[in-house]
Order: sequence, then structure tokens, then C-alpha cells
Amino acid sequence: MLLAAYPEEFRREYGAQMEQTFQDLCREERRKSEAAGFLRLWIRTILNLGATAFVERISGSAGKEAGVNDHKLAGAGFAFLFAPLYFVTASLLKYGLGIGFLFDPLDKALMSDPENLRVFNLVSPLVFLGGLGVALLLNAHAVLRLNLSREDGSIVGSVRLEARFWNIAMTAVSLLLLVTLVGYFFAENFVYRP
Amino acid sequence: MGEETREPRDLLPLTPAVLNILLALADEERHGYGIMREVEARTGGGTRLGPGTLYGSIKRMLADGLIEESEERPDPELDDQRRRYYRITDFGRGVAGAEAERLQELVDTARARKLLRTHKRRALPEAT
Repeated sequence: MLLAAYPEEFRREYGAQMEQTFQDLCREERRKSEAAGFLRLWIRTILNLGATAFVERISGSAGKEAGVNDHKLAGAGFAFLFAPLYFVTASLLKYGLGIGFLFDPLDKALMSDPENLRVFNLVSPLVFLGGLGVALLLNAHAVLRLNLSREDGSIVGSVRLEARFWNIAMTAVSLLLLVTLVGYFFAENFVYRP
Repeated sequence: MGEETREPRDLLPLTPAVLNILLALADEERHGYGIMREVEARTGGGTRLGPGTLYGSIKRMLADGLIEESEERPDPELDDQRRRYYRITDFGRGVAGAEAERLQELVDTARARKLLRTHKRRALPEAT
């Protein structure tokens, strides 16, 4: 019954062994004929199962998602950062090199009409910054592994950095674009007065 | 897709449970209950692995290639079929050795800075 707290996959794989092990522990306590020892075993086991079942649930789903979907996370990250990447690239080409084939259609569709420009100014921060934030979080999640476990009454945590090229690339691009857009915002809206 | 090549040090630091399980399997194959008993005996009752900690660690150690399940089983009449036996892999030995070296470096540093009050060695139970 206590095993119901564990994910189904874990129960299927290790449930029988855990039952057998617990029976062995109970048999050992019965041999000692100490009621207090038996009670301590039950309390320790319930606490241990409760804590580790929680760890299995959070690490199982996170681990499975990160292990199977790392490329999907990179793809989703690229989808989220496509809009800000397009806008920043188009702006740099237009105002830096005078090449307008990317920026001009955007200007004609969204920025030349005052009403469209107003909507663009309201929506674009959400789309650009929000998309970059989501892309950054998704791919940082794929690269960083956080493990928590309970050992002898203490919570032990470890962070592992996984060398997954596409996720690291998406994280770096997201961060770069975020810094660029935030820097642009400050440059456009704040004036330095010495 | 080929497996990533990993060095033992890539998995450090080990949690106390993982290290204790590797030590328990270093000299012979054991099942879960046997691992728990060995760890408790070796540490004089100082470390007790709960069933959840034990099998959660075993699951991750199997995934990391530190241990593997053994196909050899004792006489079925003498053993419960639910028991599964585990043994340490060569990679697991390398990781345990790397962790021991890491811990030894810490102990040497503590000793050099006079943080160890006494140099006591507790007698370990004989390997069976």
C-alpha cells in the first residue's frame, strides 16, 4: 500500500524487491522480539518511503522529459526565439548595413500604420521578452540537472551540467538576445545625465 | 546514436548512499537486503539505508552503468525469486575509486590543517 506513492514505472520495476526487503527487515525485528524496534522500523520506513517517493516523482518526470525531449526543447526554444531573432537581425541589417529586405516588410505591415504600430508596441515586448524567457528556461532546464534525495535525515542536492550542444546553443542565443533587447530598451528610453 | 564517453570523475561527487552501495558490492554480488545489512554492519549502525533510498539509488546507478543486475542466482529452493542480485561494473569501480581519492584529498587537507583531533581507525568487519 505504501508503494502506491511511487510512480507506476518504479513500482513495476522495484516494487516486489522492496516488499521482499521490508519483509526481511520485519523478520529480523521479530527475531529480536522488541516491540519498540518493530515500531521504529515502521516509522523509519514510512518516512523514508514518503520522502523518496516524492523525489522519484519529481525526478522521474523531469528526467524522462529532459532525456527524451532534449531536441524537442531545443526546437521549441528556437520557435520561441524566432520572432525576437528575426526582429533584431532585421533591425541590425537595416540600420547597421542599410539592407532592408527583412525589416521593410515588417515596417510596411506593422509600423507604418499608427494603429498597427500601437498594437505592435504593446504586444512585441510580451512576445519578444516572454518568448526569450521561455526559450531560456526550457533549454537551461535541459542542460542543468537538479537531483534531490534524502540521506540519513539530511537533504542532499547535486546539480549536474549536461553538455548538450543544441540546448546550450539555444540558451546562449536566448541570453544574448535578451541582453540586446533590454539594452536597446534602456538606450532608447533613458538618457544619461552626468 | 553512440553512447557518450564518460570519465569516472564526471559523476562525482557521489551521494553517501551511492558510495556505500558501491562499497558493499565491491567484494561480492548482493541483493538489496544484503546491501542494507552490509552497509549497516560496516558503519557500525551509523548508516542505515531505507528501502526507498536503496532502490532509488539502485535505479539511478543502473542507468549510469555503475552496477548491473547479475544473471547468476543461488539455488531457487534456498532463495526468493523476488530477490535480484546486483554486481559492480568496471566503470562503477572506477567511479568508487575516484570518489575515494576525492575524499582522501579532503581528509589529507583536514589533517594538514590540524582539524582532525585524533587519528582513530575503527576496525572493519571481515569481508565474507
